[in-house]
Amino acid sequence: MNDTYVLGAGSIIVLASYMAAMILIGWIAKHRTKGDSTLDYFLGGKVTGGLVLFFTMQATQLSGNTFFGFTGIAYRTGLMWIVSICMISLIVVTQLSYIPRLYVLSKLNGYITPADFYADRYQSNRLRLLVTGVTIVAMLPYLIIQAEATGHAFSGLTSGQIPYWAGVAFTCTVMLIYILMGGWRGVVWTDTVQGVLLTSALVIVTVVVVLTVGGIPSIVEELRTDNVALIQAPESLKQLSRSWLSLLVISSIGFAMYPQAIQRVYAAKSESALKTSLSLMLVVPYLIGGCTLLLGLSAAISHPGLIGVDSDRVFSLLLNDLISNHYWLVIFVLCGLLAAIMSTASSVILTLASMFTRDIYQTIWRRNTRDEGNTIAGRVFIVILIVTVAALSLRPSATLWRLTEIKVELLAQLFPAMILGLYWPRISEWPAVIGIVVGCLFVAVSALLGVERFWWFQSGVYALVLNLTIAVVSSMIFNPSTTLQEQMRKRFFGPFQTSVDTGYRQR
Amino acid sequence: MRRRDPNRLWYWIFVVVCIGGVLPIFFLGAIEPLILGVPLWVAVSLISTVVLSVVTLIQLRIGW
Repeated sequence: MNDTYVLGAGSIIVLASYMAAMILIGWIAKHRTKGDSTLDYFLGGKVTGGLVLFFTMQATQLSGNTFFGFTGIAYRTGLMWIVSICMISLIVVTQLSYIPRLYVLSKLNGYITPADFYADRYQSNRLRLLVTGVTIVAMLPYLIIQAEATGHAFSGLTSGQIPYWAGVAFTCTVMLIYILMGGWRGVVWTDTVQGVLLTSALVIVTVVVVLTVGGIPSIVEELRTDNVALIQAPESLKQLSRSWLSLLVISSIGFAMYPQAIQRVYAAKSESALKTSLSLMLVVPYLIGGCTLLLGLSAAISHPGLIGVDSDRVFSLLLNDLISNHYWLVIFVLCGLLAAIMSTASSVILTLASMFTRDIYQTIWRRNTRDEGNTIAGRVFIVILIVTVAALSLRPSATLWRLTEIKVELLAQLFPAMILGLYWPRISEWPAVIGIVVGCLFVAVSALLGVERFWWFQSGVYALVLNLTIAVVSSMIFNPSTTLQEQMRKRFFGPFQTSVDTGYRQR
Repeated sequence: MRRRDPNRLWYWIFVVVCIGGVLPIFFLGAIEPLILGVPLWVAVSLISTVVLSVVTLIQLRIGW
């Protein structure tokens, strides 16, 4: 985001009020939290209702990248970006492949972090650490970019009166306060407010921008005259695969494996709450994909000719166009942008802190520590994490963007072990470990060599196929002992057989 | 007690719909005619995505 907005003291008052409201919500959440166990602090005691669950899932999914990155892609690819609606819809489809079973197992076995499932199903702390490591490597750069975006947002919103570093420091401090005070409840309640704010901001600004350029038919007509490439369909099967199928496969799987999304499954009060939230999530793709597509196309008419990194600035340029006639709308949209960034960042921070506490601290150093000690450790990790992220984001680095691009491909490598572990009793620890390691190495080497695509597909798709093949073939060759298979079958597949009563009751 | 597991039939319908949602775009890749102001391939793509959402909703409410 560039620093070109000409906004006055009003914007600072609005920003301060918004931040104060976030802290107030965190304070209320603190007083509504009864216990202080890790389960209460990191997952709110697993009693989150359907509506709050929906807003926190939605707010976590929409980040600063949604406003800038997605609009930029729509600007560059034109109507092809309609694929985003299908892509985001497929996230729910992918989640449906694992959520029904994972939710039941999480209730029966008390999972808190995503790695809890892997460690329990495969009886392997080695796999727990591997999953945690991959997740942290994938998510940390993403978190740093969110912090950088808050600095840019503040600086831009106040025309540089609040410098970049102060914006980062201020936002991180506010997030630190409400996460430390409210834990899970603080995060999901602020997510709810932020979710409403950012969605309404995105929809309203889209309507205003599209009307300003003359409506949808007018946009298509203008592009047909001036830039027909932006409204054409894929010309060949290869182009369709590269720009469409490949994106659908890897993104829907990668986004579905976001650790904060998996924790939201664990935190649901009931299956009914999960169904409600996922049903509502089916509307989100049309909002995100539709709005960013229309904004990108509108920018292609009003600001043609931008290429590369410059094209990611089109959302800022559109806001600049609106300032003279819609001053308060721009301030509202920038608050929505800040809400999108903060909701994503705070959710990721809480999830990573829970993984540091449960999967690293508790596994390596404090196997038998009391639960209160873990909650304190969790809070300490949150402080360390936020300070580290704030410090690293003070010197924005272009290479971080490249690291973010491989985030989804890395997270997708955790999917085969998840799905095979849920549906195939025969798979055991080593095939899963080797599959993940090979898949991640393939992604990392491709990224280091600068190879984003081979032939028809993204490198992450090949890594995923390789990962899955290795896990399946090695499971066929190296069979776990019959006793182990029987144990696994009883614990992880028994709850889904009609004749076995495990004590779990569907709500 | 009986646990409700995702219905496999619906799951395969998902896959079919996903493929159905992608291939029409290739085969109907013309910009003409315009349907409600957008090219035909965009309209087909949107309709198939809506079908995908409806099938997913049915899976959520009935199949699970």
